[in-house]
Amino acid sequence: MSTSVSPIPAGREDAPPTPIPVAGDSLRARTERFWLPALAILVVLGIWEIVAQINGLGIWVQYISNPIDAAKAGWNMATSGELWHNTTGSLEAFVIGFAISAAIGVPLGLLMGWSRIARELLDPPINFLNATPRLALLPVIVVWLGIGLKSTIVVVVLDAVIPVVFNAMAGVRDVDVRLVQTARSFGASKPELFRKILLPASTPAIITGIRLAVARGVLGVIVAELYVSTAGIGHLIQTYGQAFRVNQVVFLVILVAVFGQLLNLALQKFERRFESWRGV
Amino acid sequence: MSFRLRPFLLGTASLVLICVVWQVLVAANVLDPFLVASPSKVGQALWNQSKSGVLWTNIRVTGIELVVALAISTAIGIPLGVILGWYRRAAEALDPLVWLQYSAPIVALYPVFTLMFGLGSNAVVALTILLTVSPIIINTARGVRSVDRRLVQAARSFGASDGELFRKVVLPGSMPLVMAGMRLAIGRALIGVAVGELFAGNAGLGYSVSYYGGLLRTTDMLASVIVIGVIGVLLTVAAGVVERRLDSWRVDIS
Repeated sequence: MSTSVSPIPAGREDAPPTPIPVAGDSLRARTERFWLPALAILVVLGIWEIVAQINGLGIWVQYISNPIDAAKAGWNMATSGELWHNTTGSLEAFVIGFAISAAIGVPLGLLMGWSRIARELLDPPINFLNATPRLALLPVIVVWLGIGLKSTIVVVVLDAVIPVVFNAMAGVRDVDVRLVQTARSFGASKPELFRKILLPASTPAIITGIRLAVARGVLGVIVAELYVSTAGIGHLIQTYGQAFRVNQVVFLVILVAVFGQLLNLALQKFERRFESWRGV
Repeated sequence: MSFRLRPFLLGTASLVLICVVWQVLVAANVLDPFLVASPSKVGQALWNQSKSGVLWTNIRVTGIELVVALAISTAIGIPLGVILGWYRRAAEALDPLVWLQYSAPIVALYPVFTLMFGLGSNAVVALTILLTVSPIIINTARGVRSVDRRLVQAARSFGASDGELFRKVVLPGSMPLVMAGMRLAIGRALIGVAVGELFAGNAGLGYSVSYYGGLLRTTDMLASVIVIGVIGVLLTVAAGVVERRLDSWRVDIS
């Protein structure tokens, strides 16, 4: 059984760590793995409900909503069509922004992995961008591009492009030198080397980058819409938040969290397929 | 000295190049100076802000929020992480909740926090704690889990008590991952403070970006953005240095 330090996630920054490894694969361990979390979630919901019911705890209690009211609020939003209408708005911004991030990030990262001059020239600005909280650029982007889909997309791209670039670059740089030397010895031209060695070998890293980008993209859409927008889940949260209708806010926040986490898990599965294909 | 001159020079060159292109495009009227200002104007704005003291007040407010939030989330996150790392059942039970919290758009809860704490630093700090505590928990747990079992067994055989085991084996052994978590947390804390101030602040750098943006004073707005960026870079560098320091006793044996 391996107990060695698992590597720090690929890419240099803000890679969400992989799940805490849990040992054991017996039937008992597996059933436990299902009912323990389920139980924990129920317990938390129960505590939440009870705390919300006890009004003697102080004034904060009325601000934390409670599971039953939040669920009711969610049901009402879903049946009135409000939820669906705004979800499509947010998804549109997310998908477009995400596609642009991949389209910019992958070639840029490959270039930076491939050419040393490109890397040394582009590394400082990209690192600067990476160290800046890009969501703080929201007001700037809104002043430049106005309120609406365009601003949201740009915020998503700024946030999501970075893990793609870093991971694509790391992917190219981590390619086994012997593979490159062998290909060279057999007379591979530069384009051949790129197409047949570097690109396939760096695919798993690129997919990791894309997975990290998804999480950031989701957050980017919500925060951008929260700041200023005319439609979308973030807009919905903002509308209810301004009216201090906490039930709706809490429901929507949990909804987004579940969506982001499910997407992340799905991509992790996808990622593992590629890892095994590479045969690490 | 492992200071490498070439990357440093090229890096500086590219930043200077960006500034020059920016300035030239504005001077040539390709870009609207009202929207994008220019490096010289931003420099001027920074100078004015620093003379009037606004800049330093903003930096102080944001800095205090950042430090307080990080301190509280470390105080909460590391013990929780140790528990999750040490007890397998606790990890299995709470793992999905921690991850859910990690992917939740915490900033969207700002109306709740402004209700609880009012507009200002308290609300911002609360938002930031929620944003930074999960990477600390997750990485500390992984760190504890990554400690070499043989070391634990050896310590036990030599009669180490739980406290000694924790202090002398588990804590040093999990340090690299704990520090990686802290580094992530610092990055997220800056996001939390800056974005929290956009929504729930009444002072600070993030607030001033939003404030100047609302007044369409783009030059002052960009000046604040650049200060935030510089702080971000400095924090990243500092975290890297501390991380290497704390881990320098480790010898790689393969």
